Amino acid sequence: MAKFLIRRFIYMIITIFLVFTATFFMLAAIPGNALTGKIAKLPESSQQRIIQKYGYDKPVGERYVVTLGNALHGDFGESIVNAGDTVQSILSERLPVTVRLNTQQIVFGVIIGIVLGVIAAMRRGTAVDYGILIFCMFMTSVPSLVIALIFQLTFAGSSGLGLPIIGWPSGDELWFGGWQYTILPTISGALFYVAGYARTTKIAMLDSIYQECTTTARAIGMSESEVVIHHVVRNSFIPIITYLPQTIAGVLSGSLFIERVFSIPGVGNYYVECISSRDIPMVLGFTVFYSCITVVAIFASDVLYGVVDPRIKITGDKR
Amino acid sequence: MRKRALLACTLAAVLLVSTSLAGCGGSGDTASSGTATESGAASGTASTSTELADEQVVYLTQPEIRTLDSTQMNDNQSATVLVNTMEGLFRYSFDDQGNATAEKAGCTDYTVSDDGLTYTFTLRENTWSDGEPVTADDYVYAVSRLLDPDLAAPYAFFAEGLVNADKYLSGEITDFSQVGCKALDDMTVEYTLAEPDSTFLAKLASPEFLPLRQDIVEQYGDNYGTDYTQLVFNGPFKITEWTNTASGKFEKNESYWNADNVTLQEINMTYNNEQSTLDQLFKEGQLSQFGAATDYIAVYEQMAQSGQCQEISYPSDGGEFWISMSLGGGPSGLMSNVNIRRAVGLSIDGEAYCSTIYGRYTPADDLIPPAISWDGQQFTEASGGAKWADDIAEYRNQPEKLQEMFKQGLEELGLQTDDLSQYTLSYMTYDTGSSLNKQSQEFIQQQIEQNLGINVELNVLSGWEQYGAEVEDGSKWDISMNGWVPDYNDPMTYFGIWETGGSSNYEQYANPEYDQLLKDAQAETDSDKRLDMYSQLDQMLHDDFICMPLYFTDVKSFIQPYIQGVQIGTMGYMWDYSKVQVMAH
Repeated sequence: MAKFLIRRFIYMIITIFLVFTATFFMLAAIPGNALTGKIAKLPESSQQRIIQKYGYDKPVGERYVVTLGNALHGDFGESIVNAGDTVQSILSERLPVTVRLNTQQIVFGVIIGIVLGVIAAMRRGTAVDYGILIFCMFMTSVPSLVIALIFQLTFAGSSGLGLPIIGWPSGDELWFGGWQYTILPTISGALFYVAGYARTTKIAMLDSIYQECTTTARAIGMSESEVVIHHVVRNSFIPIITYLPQTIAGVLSGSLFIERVFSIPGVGNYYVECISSRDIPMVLGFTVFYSCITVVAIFASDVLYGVVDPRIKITGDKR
Repeated sequence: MRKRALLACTLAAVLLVSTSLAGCGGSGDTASSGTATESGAASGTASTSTELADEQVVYLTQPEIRTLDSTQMNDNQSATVLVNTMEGLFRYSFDDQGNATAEKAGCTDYTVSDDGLTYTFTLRENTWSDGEPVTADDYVYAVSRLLDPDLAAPYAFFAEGLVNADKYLSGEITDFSQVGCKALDDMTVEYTLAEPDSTFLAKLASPEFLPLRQDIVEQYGDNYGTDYTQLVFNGPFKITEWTNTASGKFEKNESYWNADNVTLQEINMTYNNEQSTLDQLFKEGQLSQFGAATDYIAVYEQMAQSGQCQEISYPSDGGEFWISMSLGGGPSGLMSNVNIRRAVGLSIDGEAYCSTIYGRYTPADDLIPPAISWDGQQFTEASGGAKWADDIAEYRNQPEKLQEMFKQGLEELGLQTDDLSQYTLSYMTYDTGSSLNKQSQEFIQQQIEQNLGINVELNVLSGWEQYGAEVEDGSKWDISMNGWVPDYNDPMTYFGIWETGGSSNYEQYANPEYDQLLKDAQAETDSDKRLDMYSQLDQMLHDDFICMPLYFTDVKSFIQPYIQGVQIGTMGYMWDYSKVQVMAH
């Protein structure tokens, strides 16, 4: 187990290093960046001074060494577009908001999704099953932006249920409270998870329903509810649980469209703006940050796999 | 505004300026004649109530602050925040057509020497929000920071005309007292130019020259301007809460010299760009001003007519887009010929373009937009009419005439004229992610193809950043669409683009005669002579047909009926709420 962990840890470091290097050189290879826009209409002399100030007059190799050195100290540099913004300052300001929004979405979405999946599997072939299937297909194919806008128009404001049109709790209510602001953003983002988890659960359930151990359990006289809980549901949790860490990794990348529609000051919107304006230091910093999260999440799912299903052994040996 | 599809990328840098300043030619009286506008220019019936509401609070969409360091600023959103929270030498008011008038604000009077070199300002007594007086040193310090070689301020060139400024900027001298900007006493500041610059007053009125507190800036060093809590304010409002692209709040600044005339107590701002959300907020009364776009414009114009809101619209905000011609010839090799350039340019119908693609904006017939004015009228009127207008009247939608002109160009180049479909032009453009953008590209393509019978190939790059880097190479395109947002309210902000070797001279226009006249006009202090020179410059650009003006961007905003006195800015910032009153409703 320890051997496995060490090896995986080294792989993780290498992966992140490669992501950093690849991102750096790809960004450098694209003609134009945020600086181009910033200096576009200035006289030549001003342009030169600003390029020098940001160090973009130096060759790409030298920039790489400097950037890598700073990055090892956790410093990705200051935003070109918004003076004073750094990856750390943005994360500390905005991450809590995104984490709360997405946690609520996932908790709500996963629970409802699993319940619907179980119902669909137990009532397979009936109108209920088809109803859930159609609902899931619909929710997977409609973009969350559309759902968010429809919810906002229908349920917010005095013509709807009186829920706030925009806004998000802050200050003392950052983590807990101000629920009325969070209802619509949570539900409009959660429907995507509901659809995903309902389908995954249903398929996993159907798999285990037809397994021999289930038939055996029935044969030895276990009650139907015991069969479902002990054999069917437990076995079908394997794919669900291994899927979960990656869902959680997605938490940090934020719900871009939902943040935009409801004026939620989260990370998602900011990251996308950075990319579209080619704000190189910020894009690089966020990309490395997200890859760290993703790599850790993949690692977590591997470990969980072993925990849920003891037959899958985690060792340092070659399998 | 910056978020609007095609505009988004081109509105890189914007500064504000005044009309009368630009036209005054050095007389201290002209700028002082501005009369305070009593209420916002508004059509539609406003609230009939003449009583003030108990709560003087408004709700707006939040501008994005890039920096609050006025010497580093170069975008219209940060400028909006500065205009509402700081006081410079001048403040502007706008009439219902968007014509700006400068009013003395931070100064009570000023004189310009006869040789046009020395500008002396007497300051008004004003106080910073921490109780310190605003002094001439604050104005001088701003210039020293603008010219600081280490800071590389984008608009340092605004102050480069001052005596020794170029040497200070290049590090050749390090003693700022040798530069032509001095505090004569606490309340008098003097700017001295090396050579006369007829546009200097217009530049002085921009946020770059806002006074700055040396002690505060030094306390925060490099981070000055990135955090509102570090700032002190000398304008109508002060920032009391701010999280960028999230929410913010301004409150009335009681230490402002004109605080007695500021009625509004609070401006609350939330960041949101979704039109549907903003529409809903406006209708619920939770938003005071809505910059409607696309389909919402028609709906809100209807509402304005029935008195449910007020409309503020100006034909021009000073910005413009045109179709550039690659004078070196481009990949087709055709564009070096002036008749071909004229035929290509005139085959595009700007009026149809505005109505088909955007359903708004003003079709262009000159390179100088209506918002650029001269002694109280539009520059193009003052200078004897729009230079492209006759051409447009004669050739627009006349395929035979256009093809004839095109063939004449081909003959001059010694090329065959029998089969025009053999010729292909390359149109370099970029993807803004908006569907309007795609329609725009195809519209231009079809117009040229249909009118001239030639082919147009679209070369769509991935974004403005890439485009900005590639468009500089004129051998990669025959035509491209480019735009400009003026830096100050004087035609020079446009004419300066086409100086030989200019950094935004994508057409690569190089005409020594033009360069000389440009220089002479800059130095000319006589207003009439300068107007004549400007007119000649405009004529040269037309005669060489370096581009085809396409459209002027406009201003359109909708305000709640009970809100009075909103000033929508042209050319440099979005709004000024210092004169706003909320009426009972």
